[in-house]
Amino acid sequence: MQEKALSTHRLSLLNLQRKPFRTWALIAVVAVLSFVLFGGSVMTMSMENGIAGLEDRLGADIVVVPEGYDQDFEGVMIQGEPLYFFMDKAVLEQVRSCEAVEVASPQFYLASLNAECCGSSVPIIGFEPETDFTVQPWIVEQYSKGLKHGEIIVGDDIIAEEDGTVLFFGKNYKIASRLQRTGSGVDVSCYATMDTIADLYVDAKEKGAYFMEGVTYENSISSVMVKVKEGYTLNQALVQIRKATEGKVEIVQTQSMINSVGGSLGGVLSYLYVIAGVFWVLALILLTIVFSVTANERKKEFALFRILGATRKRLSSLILTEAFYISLGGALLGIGLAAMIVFPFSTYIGDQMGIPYLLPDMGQILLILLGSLVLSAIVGPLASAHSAHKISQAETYHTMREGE
Amino acid sequence: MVLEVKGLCKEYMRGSQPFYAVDHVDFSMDKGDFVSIIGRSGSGKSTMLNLIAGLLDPTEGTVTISGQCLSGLDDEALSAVRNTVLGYVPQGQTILSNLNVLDNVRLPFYFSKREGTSTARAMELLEQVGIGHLAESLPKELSGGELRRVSIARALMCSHELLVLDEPTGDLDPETTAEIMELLKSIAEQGTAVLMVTHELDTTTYGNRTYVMDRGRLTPSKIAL
Repeated sequence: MQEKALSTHRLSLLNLQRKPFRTWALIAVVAVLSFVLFGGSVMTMSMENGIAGLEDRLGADIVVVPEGYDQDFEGVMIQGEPLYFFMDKAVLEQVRSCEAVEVASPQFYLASLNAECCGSSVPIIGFEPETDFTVQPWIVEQYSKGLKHGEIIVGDDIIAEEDGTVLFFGKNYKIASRLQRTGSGVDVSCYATMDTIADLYVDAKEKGAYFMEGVTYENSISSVMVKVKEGYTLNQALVQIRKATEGKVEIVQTQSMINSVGGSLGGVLSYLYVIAGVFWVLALILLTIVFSVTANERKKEFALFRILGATRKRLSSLILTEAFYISLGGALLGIGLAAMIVFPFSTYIGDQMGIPYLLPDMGQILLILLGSLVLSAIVGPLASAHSAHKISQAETYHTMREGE
Repeated sequence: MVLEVKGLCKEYMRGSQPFYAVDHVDFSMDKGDFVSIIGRSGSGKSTMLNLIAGLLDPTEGTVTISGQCLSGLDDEALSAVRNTVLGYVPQGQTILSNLNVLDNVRLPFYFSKREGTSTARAMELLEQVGIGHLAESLPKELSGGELRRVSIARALMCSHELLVLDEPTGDLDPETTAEIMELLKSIAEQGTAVLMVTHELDTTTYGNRTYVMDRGRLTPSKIAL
């Protein structure tokens, strides 16, 4: 029979088994730390990715919306709220007439009924394929033939019927393509050409969904997405648009909107960093106290190791290895638990946070995992370093007597 | 010569007054010697044993074990002496409760770099001390006498030359005390030098020399046993 060597690792594990309550209590402390580190980091990065995704996706430098509807526009773009608002289509030509405007593309916002597609009402956004520069660049599977009449492009969270369609106002519309995930309101939105939107608008009215009294589809749009011409500043474009529209619209600067969302995100991120830092320090202090008390309780045992021929280095190594196993166990447990929450419930977390939320890619997740693992796994050895040094340097005779 | 102690001193301060816990001790032991040291509590017996085992640094004097002077040895070398030449059985219960009997005995084998395995030697020692059948038992299942036998077997695991014991029968009943003393006597007869500190006069009859320790000074016993 192969005999098991009483290595430092085995002795450490046997000792941890001897005190299961103490071992699990210490593991729990580190697990809380690694849970906060890993879970917090994944959430932090998801929010940062969400903001970055929204910034990329909006594409437009300026968005022109009806007066007083800038917040509603944010609601549609960031949280996917099924809101609609309209203004006179003449605004589009007014904007296009500005010298500083390179492209101006109209959009038309509707909202689906509650019980049809997707379990709840979602935004349906009409765009003009000829001028659009904010929707089509993000289509995952390119459709070579162009978006046909009656076809829909959907955000990543929209669930299709079995036959690859979505139901709006009693009619099924074929899903032509799906957009890349952003973590923002775009994921729960549907996009169609203005022709299809016209049909939807009529169907909606037939179903009794009056989006706004006095609005006619032919003469209305919801927003104008604007790209500023090279050589012009954003301010010059703003001034020109304001003048051309006689100040009767709301002009949203997308960068300001993102900065505003990002500003509140900055607060959340700082809060998360502080919490993670506080947990790390608290875990270090708590473990230092526990290891110090434990080392005092075990003086006789450590003295015995020295009597039997263990060097100071070996004794330190025994103490540090035990602490490392506790840390490693806690780190793996905490990361595992955090992973069971932040990944399956990412959509729910994003909804609750109210800001764009996009999970990091596999490479980023591995980096976060590695960082959390290292920071959690070193906390035990760091906390026990003082005790290990003190015990191993003490005169064995005195350690033995103190331990009796 | 297995052990040579020359001018060994350990000075402590009590208040502002210096005093010698061990005061210029000289003695030596050869293979197979069984030396008993008796003395009252606080006379310096345990301090002297710890100086011999290299667990305390002497104020003056030298300890030489199997030709190796302990003075000036670094921790690595001193630990190697404790592991390979000298077996030390401290006072009281010193068996590790998380290891079974066999692993307790095997433990010192892993404190120095060695080739081979430890189980055969550990089993041989357990048989020698009469508890081979308890190899797989946990310490909590053993009596005081059996635990003391485990300590002795463990002390001999890697060292056969000098066995040092601090009050090996201190907490045992007379019958078990006699059994342990017979065991120590047989170990000495097999060539291991046995140095024992005790305060039980009866146990000194098993050895071939007895010293008295009094206020740090070691003198040959004049008591007729």
